[in-house]
Amino acid sequence: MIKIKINNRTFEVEPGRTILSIAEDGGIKIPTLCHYPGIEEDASCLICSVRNKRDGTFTPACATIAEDGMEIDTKSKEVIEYRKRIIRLILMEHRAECEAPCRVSCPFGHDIPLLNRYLSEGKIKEALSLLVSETGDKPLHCPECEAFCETNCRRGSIDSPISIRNIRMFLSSRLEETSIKPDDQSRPDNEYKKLFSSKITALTAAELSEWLKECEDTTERYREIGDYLTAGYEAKNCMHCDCRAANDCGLREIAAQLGVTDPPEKFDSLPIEKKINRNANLVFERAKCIKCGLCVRACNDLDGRVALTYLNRGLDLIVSEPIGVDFRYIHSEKADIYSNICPTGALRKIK
Amino acid sequence: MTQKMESSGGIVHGNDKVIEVVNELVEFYGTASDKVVQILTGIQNRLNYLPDEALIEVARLTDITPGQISEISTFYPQFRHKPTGRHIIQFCAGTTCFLKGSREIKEAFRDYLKIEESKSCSPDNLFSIEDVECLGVCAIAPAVRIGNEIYGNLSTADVGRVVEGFLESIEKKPRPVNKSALDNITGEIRVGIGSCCVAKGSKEVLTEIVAYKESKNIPVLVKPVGCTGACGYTPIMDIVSNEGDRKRYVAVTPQDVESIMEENFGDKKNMVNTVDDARGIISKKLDDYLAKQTRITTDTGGILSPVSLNEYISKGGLEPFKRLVNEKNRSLIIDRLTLSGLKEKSSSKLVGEEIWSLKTDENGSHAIICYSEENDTGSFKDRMMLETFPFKIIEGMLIMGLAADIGRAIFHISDMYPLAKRRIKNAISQYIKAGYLGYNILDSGFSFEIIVIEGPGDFMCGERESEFAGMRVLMLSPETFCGVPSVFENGNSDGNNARKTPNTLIVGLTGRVDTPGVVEVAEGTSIGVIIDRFGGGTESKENIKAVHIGGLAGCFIPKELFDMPLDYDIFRNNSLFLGPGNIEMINEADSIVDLTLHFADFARRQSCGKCAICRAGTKRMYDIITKIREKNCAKEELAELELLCVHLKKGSLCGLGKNAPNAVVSALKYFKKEFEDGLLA
Ligand code: SF4
Ligand code: SF4
Ligand code: SF4
Ligand code: SF4
Ligand code: FES
Ligand code: FES
Ligand code: FES
Repeated sequence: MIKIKINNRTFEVEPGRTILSIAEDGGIKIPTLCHYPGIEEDASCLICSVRNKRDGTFTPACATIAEDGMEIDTKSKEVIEYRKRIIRLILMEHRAECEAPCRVSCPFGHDIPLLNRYLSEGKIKEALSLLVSETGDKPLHCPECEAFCETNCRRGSIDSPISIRNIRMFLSSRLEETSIKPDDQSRPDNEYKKLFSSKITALTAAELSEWLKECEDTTERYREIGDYLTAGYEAKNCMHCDCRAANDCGLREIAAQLGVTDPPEKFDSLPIEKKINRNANLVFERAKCIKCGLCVRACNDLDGRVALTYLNRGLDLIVSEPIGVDFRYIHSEKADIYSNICPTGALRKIK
Repeated sequence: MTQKMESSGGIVHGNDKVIEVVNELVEFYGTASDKVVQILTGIQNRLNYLPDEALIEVARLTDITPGQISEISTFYPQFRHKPTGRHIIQFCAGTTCFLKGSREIKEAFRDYLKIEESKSCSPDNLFSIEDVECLGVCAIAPAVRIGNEIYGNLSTADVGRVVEGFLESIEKKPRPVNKSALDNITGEIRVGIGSCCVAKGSKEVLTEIVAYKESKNIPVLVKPVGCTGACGYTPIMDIVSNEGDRKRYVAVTPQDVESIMEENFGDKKNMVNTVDDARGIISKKLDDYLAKQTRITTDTGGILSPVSLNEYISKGGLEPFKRLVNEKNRSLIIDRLTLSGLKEKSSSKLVGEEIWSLKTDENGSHAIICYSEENDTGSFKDRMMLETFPFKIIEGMLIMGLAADIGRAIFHISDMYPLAKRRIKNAISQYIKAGYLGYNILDSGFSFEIIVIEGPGDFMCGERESEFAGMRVLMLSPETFCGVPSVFENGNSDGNNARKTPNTLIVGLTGRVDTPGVVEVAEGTSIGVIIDRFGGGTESKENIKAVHIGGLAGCFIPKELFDMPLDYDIFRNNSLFLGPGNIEMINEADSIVDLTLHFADFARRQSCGKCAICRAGTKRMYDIITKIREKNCAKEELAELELLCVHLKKGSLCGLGKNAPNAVVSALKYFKKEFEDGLLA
């Protein structure tokens, strides 16, 4: 047994355990991004850094094996400053948006992309209950509204905005026929504004076309929405401008906890790029990848099936499919693992 | 053998040539996954870059997976993924070249070859350009390499001449060689042939000498020798009689050769002195330069041939080894090493103690490794040592092998130093032929083999440790090995009189000095003394402002502190980093901010990218200093920079990140004003 002190509390543990696991057992919370139970540790995000009181250095709790006599501090000012630094640096190489322009411009913060997603997947009940939970007992705001959402809809700069208001008005007109209860899963109204949100940036034509990849299987646009089918068809034209991880993103959560805002300056940012593998139901947005390496550690291609790997070094380091191999060849078993472990919205299920 | 990809991802297979090359190499190296670097290097040597199809084919044929090959081939900057022009021009990204205007030189080449901003290849596909870390010839900075030729001391006006000269040189016929076998040799003519000697024209000088000698049938031996390290004076021509009289000529040009030869060997021998006074004076200066050093490790530089083992042996080389291998007394050797005070320069640990501290694990693999610095001034010195003292370094390795009871040694020499690699390989084969390497050397029961590892070097980012993880290794620099035989010179077998050598330090002196070079001085000599004695003062005398010391992880030291002795412990106690112990002189006119930016740029490029603080922190450091340089930096950002340095130091996981802020920290400590000048009003 060895003895180690964390925040002046003494722990007696068997040798060979990481600081993180000891802290967790003792109920001490340490944020993590590149750590996932069962996957080999390879400290890279450093957000779990704690201070070694002996020499004042920072060490990643997830990958540091406790040594007898260690004294660790997980919450002093220095540690918090350091974690803020790390998150700011990570955000400087993180080009992405948590929320879509339509939602951000809606005075009531309605989750328009989610609604569109439900409709396009034919999940009518979910769509209706989202609407109910957003409006509550009050009547729908949209008829009186100037439809800021449509003015700012990204699809507008390609052909025309999604018919958001008409879709919502149609759904609202059907509410009476149903007895839908509010959906307690969804986050109503402007709650999301309390969270961290990265900036919405103007897009280049090339980036818009990357976005359009989300709508590869759509055919027509609809202005008037009179039935669920047309609503669904029109909703399919929505380009999914919000982040797929908006509600379960480790980075967003930690940034919010530390009170870090999106830094105004970014490194020469990666172009927005969407890689879509419909066979495996997987989408990869590199601009959201924080290079934590979990995906690379979780699967390799020694089994003969294509897996993600690292390319380049330093700031040019990226996660990618191997050279000469198409992203569409990533196997669906691996895709499932990827979308489960990725701490950001970089790797997610399409649906 | 692992199962191969189910599908190759829809890539069209490349042309037959690519497939053929890959097949040959795989056949040669085998299919084991640890051969990937060799195979990739081979492909690049043959095809000049790594086509995607080649990578796919390698992955198909070997145990290497597409993921592994993609990762490795993009990690090492030496591997190219795009075709290049016929000839590659390599621009040095090292500090001295930077200080002396390498950026302008590169622009001038771009202009001359009409290479567009975003491209790296000239429109006629004849030349492409790439950046490399230090070319190892800092004494003649700024330098470029084209093909196998190095061109130094460049100015933007030289570009046309260099390019045309290079094109001419590749068409040139071979020149006369030293062929006549002569009796009654009266003496020898020595000319140094280190990389930078050669770049300064010593080969042309040699050619002229040989031509003269051949045409007049002069009974003298023309001997290319290792470098004296006095790069500021080369090409040096020493004419030495059998009796040991010596006449010395410095900064010789091919045009000078005829008159020098006339003066010494012609009909009017010694009657008219055609060599001007100035040169006579410089020659005296050179004598001084050498005499003021403590040349123990480098004693034979400029005297012995770097390509003749016979000569090395005839001058007393290998005596120590022969004696020790017969004595077969390990602990005695170690004791003597410890007693002598010989230290490994990079760690300043006693070599004798390093041997004792080796793990004594009988079954594990083990090796002695000679690594050379591959960046900046450290490489300048190591490159010069490897080129000049290959025999002595190997003898040092043999003795260390005896002492540590290790029978295998590895040289790790980067592709960047082809001449050093050639010399070492040549020396190894001569050793083998002479029976001093291999199985059961001199019937002593001691066996020793040496291999040279090629390919991308890049020992940064803790890879140095990990590459040989689990191995029992003794890793030392060329300088340290080279110092080993001297410890046992004049020794006898009772073992008590190990030569107590004054501990010396070999220092590369470059930057704004009159006479750059490599000098050996006693440990503890002060910076100021080195500059005055050997640098000949600064280029513009009064204007010295600071030195940068210790290579890329090193620091700035202002002139007020020039009394500080070069001593590892003193440096460490002042939280400074002496590193490979090289000195870069900086003038009042040089901007510390610019130089700091250069170091930050290096850190940014060399970061392996694994941990966030190092990957993004070095980049942020670079960005803030760029803003300072452009006088566009907010006050808070300067404060951010200071804290960022602390965080890099305390939080990075490997040496690169921990040392990345050294230059910035010392610059901010001693030259804060220059940074504050870059703040927004
Ligand atoms: S990955 Fe996280 S922080 Fe980035 S856009 Fe998505 S939700 Fe926001
Ligand atoms: S029309 Fe409805 S969804 Fe659009 S901005 Fe107005 S209230 Fe929000
Ligand atoms: S395309 Fe969809 S997600 Fe994007 S702004 Fe328009 S409605 Fe919102
Ligand atoms: S894709 Fe996700 S899991 Fe993979 S490195 Fe990027 S952030 Fe980490
Ligand atoms: S969670 Fe520990 S380094 Fe990322
Ligand atoms: S040769 Fe250019 S800096 Fe060393
Ligand atoms: S002059 Fe010979 S190596 Fe420098």
